[in-house]
Amino acid sequence: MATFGFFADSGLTVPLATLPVSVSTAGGATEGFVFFGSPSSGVTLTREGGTDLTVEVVDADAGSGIPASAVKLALSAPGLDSATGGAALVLGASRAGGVANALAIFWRVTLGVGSPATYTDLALQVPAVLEA
Amino acid sequence: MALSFVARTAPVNIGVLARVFGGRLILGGTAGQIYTSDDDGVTWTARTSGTTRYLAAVAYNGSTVVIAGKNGACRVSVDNGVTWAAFGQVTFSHLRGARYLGGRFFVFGADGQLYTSVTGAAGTWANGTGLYSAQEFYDVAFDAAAGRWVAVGSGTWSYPHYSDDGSAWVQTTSGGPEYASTSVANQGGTWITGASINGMARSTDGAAWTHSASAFATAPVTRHGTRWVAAGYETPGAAIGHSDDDGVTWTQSVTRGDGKFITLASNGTHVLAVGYASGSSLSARANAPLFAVSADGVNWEIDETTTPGCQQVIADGDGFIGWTTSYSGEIGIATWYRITASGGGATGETITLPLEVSAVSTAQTLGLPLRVHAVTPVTLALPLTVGVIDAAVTGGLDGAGGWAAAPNGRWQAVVVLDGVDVSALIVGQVTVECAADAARTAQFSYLPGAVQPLGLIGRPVRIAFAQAGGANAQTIFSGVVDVPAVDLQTGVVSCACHDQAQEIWANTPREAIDALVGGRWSLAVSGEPEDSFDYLRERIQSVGASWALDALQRPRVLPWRDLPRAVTIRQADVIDGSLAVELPSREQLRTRVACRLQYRYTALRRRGIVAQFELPLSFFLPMITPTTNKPAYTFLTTAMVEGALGSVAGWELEGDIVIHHPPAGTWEVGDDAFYTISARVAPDLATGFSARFSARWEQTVTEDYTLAVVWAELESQLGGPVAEEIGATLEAEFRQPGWAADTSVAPVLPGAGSVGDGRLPWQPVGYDTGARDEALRTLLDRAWVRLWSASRSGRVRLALPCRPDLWIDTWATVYTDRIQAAGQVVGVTHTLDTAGGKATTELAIAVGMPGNAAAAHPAWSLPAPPADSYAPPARAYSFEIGAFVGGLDTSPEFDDEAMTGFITNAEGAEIEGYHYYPHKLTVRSPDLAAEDRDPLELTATAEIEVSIPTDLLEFA
Repeated sequence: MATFGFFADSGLTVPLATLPVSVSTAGGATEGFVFFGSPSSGVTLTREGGTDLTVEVVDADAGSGIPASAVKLALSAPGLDSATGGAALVLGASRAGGVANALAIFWRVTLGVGSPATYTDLALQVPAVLEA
Repeated sequence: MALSFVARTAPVNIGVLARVFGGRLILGGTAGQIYTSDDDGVTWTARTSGTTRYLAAVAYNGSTVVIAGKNGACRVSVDNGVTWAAFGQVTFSHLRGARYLGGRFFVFGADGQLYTSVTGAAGTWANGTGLYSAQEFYDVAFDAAAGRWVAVGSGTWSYPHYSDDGSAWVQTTSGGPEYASTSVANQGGTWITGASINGMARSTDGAAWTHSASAFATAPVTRHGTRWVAAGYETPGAAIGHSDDDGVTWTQSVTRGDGKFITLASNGTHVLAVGYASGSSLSARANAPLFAVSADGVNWEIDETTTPGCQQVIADGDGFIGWTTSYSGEIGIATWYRITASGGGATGETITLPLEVSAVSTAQTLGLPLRVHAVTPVTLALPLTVGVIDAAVTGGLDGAGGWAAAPNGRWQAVVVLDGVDVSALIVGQVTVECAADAARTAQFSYLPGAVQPLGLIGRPVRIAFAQAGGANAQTIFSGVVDVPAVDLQTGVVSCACHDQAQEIWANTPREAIDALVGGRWSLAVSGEPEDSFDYLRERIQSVGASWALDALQRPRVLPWRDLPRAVTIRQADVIDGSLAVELPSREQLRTRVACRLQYRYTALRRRGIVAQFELPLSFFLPMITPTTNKPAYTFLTTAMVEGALGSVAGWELEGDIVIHHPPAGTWEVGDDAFYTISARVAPDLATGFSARFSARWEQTVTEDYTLAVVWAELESQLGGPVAEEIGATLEAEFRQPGWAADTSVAPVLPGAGSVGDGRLPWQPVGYDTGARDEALRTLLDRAWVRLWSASRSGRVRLALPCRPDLWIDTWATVYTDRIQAAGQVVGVTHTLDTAGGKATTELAIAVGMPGNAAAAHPAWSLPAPPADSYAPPARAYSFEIGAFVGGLDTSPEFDDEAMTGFITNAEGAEIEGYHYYPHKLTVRSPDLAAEDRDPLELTATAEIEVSIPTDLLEFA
């Protein structure tokens, strides 16, 4: 089982099962960041086929809920301004494990005016990884 | 040689033991306790220390004792350890040592702290100058002949310091011990110390040091006779060495396979080293004792049987005192020893005492006169006078009328001045006035034969009211003459006297006042009191009570209700025409008191941020196909990354810059086109990087509380509020110069190396949230008492035939045709007119608002502390690093201001009309927002309704 994953803190001590985000029904954006990495310093993450690792926004139910384009990802908070909603974030060809190599992934969720609801159709995912 | 141990058990785990004046032992505990013992530790008396910090060291100069410990704990005693006062929070760093040397006190420890004072009194302490801030001082020694102090300690490059005035220090720069010197000593101008690296070192002036040939690690040293002795550690274990040439060379005389000697002491006849034979924890080491004793410092006897062992020892008369404690762990054990050593001394040696005889020309006789003074033994005695008075003289009232104290109105005033009864010489009136919260005063005049009026000042005076003939005398005044005056025409001397209330209260210990008054006192509310009298007047504002001295000058505190005496006064008891009532005015009343407390402290803050950048390899590589014509982009280089992130203004790099290099290899980038990155070049190129930075800063936080104590019932009755405000400020000052800029300066904030915020409110003992809450409760107590005090500003006044027993300890209920009232007697005036034969007592009775209902002092429930609602946005934790490519048909004109990040170009021949960029990397760090940086004001308001006691007050 891969030790890489998403964490709440840069020390990689609090693994995240979900990323709760609150946006006002008046519409607007909420920003934050999570950390991607492995607390094990001796491991390396690559992608099957040797291509770049990416973090993608996937929509499990494209017909309802909110679209993947509502989510922007970047490696810096200012980078969110120029990021494309729903676009994957490239992490490079490999990532090393260890707390020092934890990667901050900045996110922004933007919604229009709406009613109170809880949407669970979106997720961040890093596909087809190999941990060695 | 033999060691004998007398084990003693201390009442608490021991931090430090010391012997002070009169053989008294002082014990400082691991949790701030202070005890004293006058029977060599058999019994102990707990003293109030005012701290809970680990106490580590004691210094004593013959009259003043100073004790110091962790977190800057410092206390001073000027009564040989009975009472202890803080001498101000001179530092918050850990203090491990205290000395009195060369006419100066020193307390010292971590973070370059080496405070000094000549007297030890509060306000006289100051840190030395020129001290190395990363050094933790362990010891100070003094060379009286040279007038020089030397201080040593631990820490990298912790060379010794020296000073010629005890305040300005100079750190030596080389040659001496560099790490962990735990002790330093001077004898005959030679300084010796031992360190964890390079071992023993010596100096003849404290400034220039040289290492000795033999090394011991962290070796405490002492002088034993003509010999230096050091005990510490030398691979593989505990070791002892000695030097007979003032520390130039050392000879190892004890070597053990394990363990370590912690310290040693010489009592003149023996030297005793203590430590442990093995183990790592304090308890394990205590159970692996290691004692070494020697009479000559060369031949040693080892004891590994006496359990628990000792890891601290001091010389104590003809023996030693030993105990076990851990400064770093702040733990200790309660068992300690009085240790004596016997035997030893060199054998087989010839002890020679050279005899020098000088022949002088004339023999002389030296004389010393002896004066013997014979005296007659005396017996010290204190006469005891017991007067038994008729119970009837304090009875009466309740409508009985008449003169209970002097039946048939036959009375006399008894005035004793400086031990002489001058009653027969009294002229005119004798008056005595006493009131709540005031000194008792007296006035009388008499006609002496001859007197020097100035000689009367300060003479004791006693005044009594007695039945004619002197029976059943009741003292109504004891005190001294304050102001004498003489009528030059008549020769009559008038004396104004008082009962010395201020002086007596000023000499009453605070503990006694605490017991008498109860209630609360807060330094933040009252400030530092000038004396105990000032302290009394501050503390009593938190309870419904008054202070006074009784007729025999004994301090008393009397509650406003539930008094010890009660009388009922009816119409028949009152002198006609004397009854009067004064009602409180609206101006005097209070319906609410606002309590405002500003609690100010420094939030020590840390923020970790991240600089990240990553591009796929495909971003840089060209791709030339029939349908694609993407040129190569000039690579980001390792040098550019290191240059951009090597120094970022306002932020400190944490850890290493992680640079992602492209792999070496060859890629097909089109039809029969290939792109190669060689193994030699790849490390110079980068596809991304990440680095973490942090910053520390101080933010002032003020919690501003406004709590209104409201007597709603009265407010409703008056039709609106009549308010006042009381307040206090509690400010925890943070004094660590350079803390924000230098991460090696304590305190360390949590979360080092992480991304996000760390925060440490600087709230040391005495300025912590407990002190804040105590200040708030003190203000609330005072507010409630003020409401009550204002309500009882009404007065019922009346006069009675003299009742010398009535005082402010009396609850008086008055029933007359016109009024029914009840309250505390708050003023009494006795007037004894010796000429007219008239003796009266005028009473002032305090009455509150009508209702006659009790109300308990409230138990306060404080509001929750206000919280900071500001949450920094995500960009507060992130650098701005974009990617911009020039040389494309879509490339805009270069904008140095707007384009922050990796700036590159499409490779190939330049095309006219295209915009090409400078190849560089720039990064922009986030700013600290005003909400993070500026002083923070957090407010909390609340309104608390209370009930106030009311009294009987009805009019017919």
